[in-house]
Amino acid sequence: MLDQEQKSQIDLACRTAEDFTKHFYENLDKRRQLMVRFYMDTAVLVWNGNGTIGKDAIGKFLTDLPLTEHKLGSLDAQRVLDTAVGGKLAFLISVAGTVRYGTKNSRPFTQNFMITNHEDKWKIVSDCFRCQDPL
Amino acid sequence: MARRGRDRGHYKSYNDHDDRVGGGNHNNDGNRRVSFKNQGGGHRNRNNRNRQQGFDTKHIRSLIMSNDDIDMGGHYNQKPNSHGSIKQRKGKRTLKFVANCFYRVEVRYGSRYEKDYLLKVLASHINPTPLIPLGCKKNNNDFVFTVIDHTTAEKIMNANRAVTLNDGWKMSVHVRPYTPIVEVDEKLTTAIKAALASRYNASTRSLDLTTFQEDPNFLSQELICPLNRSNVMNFVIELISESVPDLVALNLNKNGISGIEHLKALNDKLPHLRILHMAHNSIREVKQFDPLKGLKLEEINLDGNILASQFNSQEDYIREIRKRFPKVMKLDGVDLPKPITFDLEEEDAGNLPKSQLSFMCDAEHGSVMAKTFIEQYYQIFDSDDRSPLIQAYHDTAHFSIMCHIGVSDSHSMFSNFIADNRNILKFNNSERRLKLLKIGKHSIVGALKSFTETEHDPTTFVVDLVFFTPALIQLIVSGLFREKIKPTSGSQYKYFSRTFIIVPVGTGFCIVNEELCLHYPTSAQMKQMMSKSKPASAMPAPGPSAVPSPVVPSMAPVVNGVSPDILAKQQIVTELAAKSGMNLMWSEKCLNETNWNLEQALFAFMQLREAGTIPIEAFQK
Repeated sequence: MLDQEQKSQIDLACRTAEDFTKHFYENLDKRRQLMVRFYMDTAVLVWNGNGTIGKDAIGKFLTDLPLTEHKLGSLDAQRVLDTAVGGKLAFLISVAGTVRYGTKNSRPFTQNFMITNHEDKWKIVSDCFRCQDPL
Repeated sequence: MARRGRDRGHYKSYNDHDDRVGGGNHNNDGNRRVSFKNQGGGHRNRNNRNRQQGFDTKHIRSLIMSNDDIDMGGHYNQKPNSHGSIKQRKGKRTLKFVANCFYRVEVRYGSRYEKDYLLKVLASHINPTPLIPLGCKKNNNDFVFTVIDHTTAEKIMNANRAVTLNDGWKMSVHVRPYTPIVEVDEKLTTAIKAALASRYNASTRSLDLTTFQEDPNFLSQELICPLNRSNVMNFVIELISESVPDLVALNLNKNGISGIEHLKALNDKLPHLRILHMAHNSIREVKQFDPLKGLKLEEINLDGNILASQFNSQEDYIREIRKRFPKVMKLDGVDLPKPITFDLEEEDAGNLPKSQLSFMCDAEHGSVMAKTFIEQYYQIFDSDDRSPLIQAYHDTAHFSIMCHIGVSDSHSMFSNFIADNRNILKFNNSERRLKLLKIGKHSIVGALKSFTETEHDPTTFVVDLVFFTPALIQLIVSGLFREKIKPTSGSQYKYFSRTFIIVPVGTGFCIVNEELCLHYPTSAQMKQMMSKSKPASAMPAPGPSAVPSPVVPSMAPVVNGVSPDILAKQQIVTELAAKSGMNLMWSEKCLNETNWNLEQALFAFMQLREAGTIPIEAFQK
C-alpha cells in the first residue's frame, strides 16, 4: 500500500506536469530566448533523433528552429522511482499534441521530459521530442 | 473601421434589396440605385389592372439590371448604371446576359396554383429550352424560383402575360438576375461534399470548381449553391481544408465572384495552394488580392475579369500581381520571365533539422542493451501470454497509458485501451489520477494482459536512448503495431511511443517507470504500413543496429507467422482500391467494416458514393 507521502508525490507529479508544460510551450512558442533557463547545465535534448547536450547548446538549437505553435492534447506524469534517481525528486512527463512549424501544416508529436528539483526550481534533465512521421 | 462600416452597409443594403422583392416596404431608399419599385405606393396595388401595364414597364427596367444589380461582392459606392439593359424589339424582350449568375423568377399571385402545374405551363411555353427550377417556394402571394440558364430565364421572362392560366388569368411573371442568400443546411452540405469529391483530382491535388452552381449534385436536388456568397465559399473552403489540406490547385472560374476578401481564409486553410484560377469572374481591382498575400501562388489566371483592363501595359499588370505574389511564374496562361530577387532568408524558414532514425547516447554498450531489451520485451508482449513480463518490472514499478485522441479521432478508435487512459488534461481528480496509475509489477502485468493481443512491426521502430548510466537508463521506443482484436472503429493499426526508465539489476535490467502513449496513425504511416505488409523480401533494409532487425532469429517467427494473412488482405485492399478509386487506407477501412468481403465492400462503397458521404480524402492517393 502507498503511504500518504507517496500519494501526495504522485499528485504533485501531475500538478507540476500541468504547470511545467504550460510554461514550457508558452515560452517555446513566444519567448524562445528564455528556453535555456528550463534546462539543467548538463541536460540532454533529443530532437527527432538529433542529440544536443548542455543547456547553452540546447538553447541555440531551439532558437534556430522555425517559429512554432504547439497545441497540447494529452499529458501524463509519474514520479520516477527512488532507485533510479537516488532519492532525488524527479518526474517523468509525456506529452502528445500537434505542432506547426512556420506556415507548414500542423503535425502530431510526442515529447517526453524528465524534470528534477534543482535548487528549488524545476529543471529539465532530459527532453526527447518526436514528430509522428514515418522514417 | 471605416472600411468595416462600409462593408456592413453594403450587406445591409444588399439584404434590403432582396427583401424588397419579397414585398418589403422601404421608403427611405433614396441612396439605392434601384428605387423605382417603391415609387408611388399605388403601383404596389397589383389588382389595379389598368395600371399594371405602366407599372410593368418601369418595373422591368429596374429589375432587369445590368452588372450593378448582381454585383454580388460589393462596390455599392459604384455609380448607378444608367444605361437601360432591357431592349424591347417587336414585343420580344431580351434579358441582358450576365455570366454565371442566378435568375430569380417570380410568378405573381402564383401561390394559388399547384407548383407542378405552373412549372409544367412554363416548361411547355419555353420548350425546347429545358426548365430546371431551383429552390421553388411560395412567397406571400407569389410563386418564386431560381434558374441558372440565361436562355431559360429570358424565355420565362417572355412568358409574362403571354400565357393564359387554367382560371383565365394571364400569367404575370418577372425575372431578374440576383445572388441568392442561402443557408448551408444538411442537405446542401451533403450535396457540396459530393460535388467536391467528384471534382477532385488526386493525382494533381487539384480541385476544379468551374461553374460550381451548375453541378449535377445541386441541380438534381433543386439546390442553389452560390459560391459568390461568402458563407457558402467559406464553408466550401473549410470542407476542403478538412479533407485535402494539402491542395495545390484550385479553380474558381466562372462563379460570378466579385468580392474576394473572405477568401483570405485560404492563407491558413490551404497553405500548399500554388495555383489559383479565377478567370471569368467579376474582380475589378488588383488591390482586392491584398488579403490573399499569404498564399505562395505560382500560377494565377484572371482572364475575363475587369481588372486587367485597368492597366496601361501588360508590364504594369504583371508588376502589380507580383507585388502581391512574388513567385508567380504564369499569369493568365502566359509564362512569365523569372524575376530577379534578393538573397534573403525564406520567410517561413522551413528548414527543420533532418530527422534521425535513432539517438544512442552510448553507441557501444547502450545500443546492444537497447536492442536486446526491445527484442525480448516485444517478443513476449506480442505473444499470447504476457505473464513472463513480470520479470521485467521492479516490485514497485509505475506504469500508465495515455490515448492521444486527436481532433479528428474518436474514443472508439482506442476502444481496446481507453479504459486505462490516463490523460490528466482531461480530469483533475487526484483519486482518479492515482487509480489509473498501475503500481507494482503484478498490477502492471495485469493491465498489460488486459490489452488486446498485438503485433508490433519492428521495421517501423524508432529508438532513442537518452541516458545510459550505471544508475539509470532512459529509453524511448516508438513505432506501429496492429491490434488483433478490432477496435470499435477505425484502423487496427496504432502508433505508440513508449518511455522506459530502467535500472540495472545484477546482470539484467528492470523497468521502474513506463509511460505508454498511443496515437492514431497518420495517413503517411498507414501508407507505410500497407507497403510494408507486402512480401518479407520487400522489407527495407533494417536501419542502424539499435533497431531490432527482422532477420534476428527470435523475431523471425513473428514476422513470418503473419505474412500470409496480411498478404491476402493486402491483395483485396489493392483490388478494392483499383475498382473504387479510393486510396489504400480507405479501402482497408471499407473492407474492415465489411468483414473483408470484396463484393460487400464494393456494394457499400457504391451506396455511400451514391449518398455522397465519402469524403474527398478517401480518393487522395
